[in-house]
Amino acid sequence: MLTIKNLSVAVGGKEILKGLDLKVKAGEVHAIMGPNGSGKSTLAYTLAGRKDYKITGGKILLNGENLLALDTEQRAHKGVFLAMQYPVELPGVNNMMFMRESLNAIRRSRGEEEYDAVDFIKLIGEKAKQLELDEKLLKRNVNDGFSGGEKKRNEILQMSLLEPKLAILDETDSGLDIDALRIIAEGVNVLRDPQRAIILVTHYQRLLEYIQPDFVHVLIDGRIVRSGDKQLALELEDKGYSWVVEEAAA
Amino acid sequence: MIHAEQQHDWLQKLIAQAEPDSIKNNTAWLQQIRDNAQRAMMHCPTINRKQEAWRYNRIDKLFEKNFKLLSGDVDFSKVDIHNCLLPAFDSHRLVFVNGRYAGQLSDIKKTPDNIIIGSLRDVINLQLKQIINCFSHTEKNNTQLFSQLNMAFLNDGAVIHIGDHIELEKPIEIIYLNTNSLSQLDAADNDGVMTQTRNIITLGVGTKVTLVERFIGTDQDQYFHNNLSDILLAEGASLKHYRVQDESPEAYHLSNLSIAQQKNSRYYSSHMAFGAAWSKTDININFKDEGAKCLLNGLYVVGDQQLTDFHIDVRHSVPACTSKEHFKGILYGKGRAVFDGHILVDKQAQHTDAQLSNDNLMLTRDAEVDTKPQLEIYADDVKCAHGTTVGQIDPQQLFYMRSRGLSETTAYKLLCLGFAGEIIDSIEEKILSEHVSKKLVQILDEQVFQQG
Ligand SMILES: Nc1ncnc2c1ncn2[C@@H]1O[C@H](COP(=O)(O)OP(=O)(O)OP(=O)(O)O)[C@@H](O)[C@H]1O
Ligand SMILES: [Mg+2]
Repeated sequence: MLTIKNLSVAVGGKEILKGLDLKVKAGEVHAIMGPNGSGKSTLAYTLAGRKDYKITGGKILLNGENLLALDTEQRAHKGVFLAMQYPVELPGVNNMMFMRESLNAIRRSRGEEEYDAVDFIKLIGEKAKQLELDEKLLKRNVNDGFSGGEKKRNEILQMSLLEPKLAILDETDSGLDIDALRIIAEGVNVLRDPQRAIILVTHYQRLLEYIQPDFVHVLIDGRIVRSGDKQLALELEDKGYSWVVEEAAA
Repeated sequence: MIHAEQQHDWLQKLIAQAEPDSIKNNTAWLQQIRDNAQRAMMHCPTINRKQEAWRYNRIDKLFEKNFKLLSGDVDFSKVDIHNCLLPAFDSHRLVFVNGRYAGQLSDIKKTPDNIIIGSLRDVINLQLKQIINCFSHTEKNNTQLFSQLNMAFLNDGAVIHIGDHIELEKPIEIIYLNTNSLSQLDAADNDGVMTQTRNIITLGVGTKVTLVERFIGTDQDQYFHNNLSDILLAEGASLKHYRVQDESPEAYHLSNLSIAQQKNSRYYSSHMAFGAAWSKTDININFKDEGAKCLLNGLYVVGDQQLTDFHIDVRHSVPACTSKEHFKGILYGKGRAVFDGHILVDKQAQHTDAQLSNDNLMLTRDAEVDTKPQLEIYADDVKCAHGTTVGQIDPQQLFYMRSRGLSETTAYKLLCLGFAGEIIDSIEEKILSEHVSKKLVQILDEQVFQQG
């Protein structure tokens, strides 16, 4: 589904990703771990299409199509979804209305029928219930004044609503209480599907107990320096990153 | 820069045009006031841009125009008023066309004696004490050129006089429609109609009223509408006041509102400015006794070839009054806006609560806003604050929305609506707030993001 080849990305004039390779097949769950500042979010933003991230080399193919040629919204229409590490607040923009606009924009792009207000309220109500998200949050403005955990839940609600083909979750587990972590993991597991790929960026092994990854990658200094199965995550938890750095240098 | 002669000549030409019939009646005191005003305006100091009130405003453009004062009758039967009405909005409706009251287009039912809703022309012969007082008050205290001009060539206006302890169920609505097509103007030698409207609004003790004012220009006409309003709120009275300035894109619009508030009275208002090439709204709040409160919300949307100017003056001269002003602006193209908010807290006005804020959203680099909030405080036990922001759409927000599949234009639009929403939602008349919201969407669609 996703092929990243020798990708280099500069942010603010500084090269952050330095020749990154990654292959993700439909149906797979990949975890990406790595120290702070190593470029995990940069990779996530680059996939979603942030304009201020300059591609200095390499390519990204989504189902054979050049992803880099597409605008941010076109990528969303193709099924790319990024649950952000720091979800953005949209004061004055109603959460429910925003999600309906969003779902309908994506459906429109695919020639599918749009949801009317009544059907949408039913749909979103069900999804919110599954994720145990307080319905009051739907009536508020998008992420505006939400607690950290509420923002993360709201991201996952959007994900389960939009049913993406490629979901990237950037530290969705950070800042969640234990119950919330379990609920959100369930939300993600429900979406696991042979047609869908999921990339989890995380610092914690705990999430991977709930969402069992097929592959674990270590991203250091803009490159994936080691890949393995879920055993690798346990090892990292135990020993930290320094040994990976050393072995990679060797 | 304006020269004394330019202003003088402009006024002189108007006097030469004026027919004595602007308001026909036998009321000697009124004729006296008009004569006095004509004389007074000739002696008003020359407006110039060194004066604070006109610093950012190109008043000289106005003095280049050759406006026509209306004489003779207007044929109201040609007016398509239905285009101007808000669907299903039930109101006591006063319609003024080119400053003339149009009874046949209005909707005023017979009211009890303690409720007067009518046109100045119709009720002037009742010689309401308030009217006389009001005029002589302006004559003495509101000595600005355009207030004098308003009295000198007065067309008509609304008189709303609601007695004590009345809760008016339906809102009162004043529609001012301006159009050059109805008046026999010789197109060659003029720049459109000049209209002077004068409103006198008094609410009795404990009385509650909602007032909607809508300024409409149906065509692309150029004209000048100079509106002067006096609002007197007795003890415990409460007025919800919503104004929507949606003049023609070529129009000149001037509004001057003076609000005098007695003890514990409430003035809740929303001021919307969408239209006109040049518009200036002056709002003066005078607290006369303790415990009164005013709330002024405003929204201006300003684009190419437009200048929109708000001047707010709140005078806390008595203790324990509250004033809150919150104005927001959306500017695009080469739009220009001025916001000048002045709050004066006198020495004896202890326990004043005064808040003033002005936020501007600039959609283009070429747009410009001059914002100047001022607090002048002479009392020590007060709660006062002011704040101003001038910002752009946040690229992070745009990215977030687009990453959810929304087009860039839709994202922009939702953010603009979100920015203005707080002000629009302060209009408690649902039909009106929806109308205003639609108007904003229409401007965003047709002017800001033409591609739709
Ligand atoms: N606008 C910018 N200008 C300069 N440097 C930037 C900019 N944005 C990000 N960076 C830098 O890029 C590097 C990678 O950041 P990124 O957010 O991708 O790290 P991360 O791996 O997600 O870290 P974390 O685990 O802390 O979330 C950091 O050193 C960061 O400071
Ligand atoms: Mg990160």
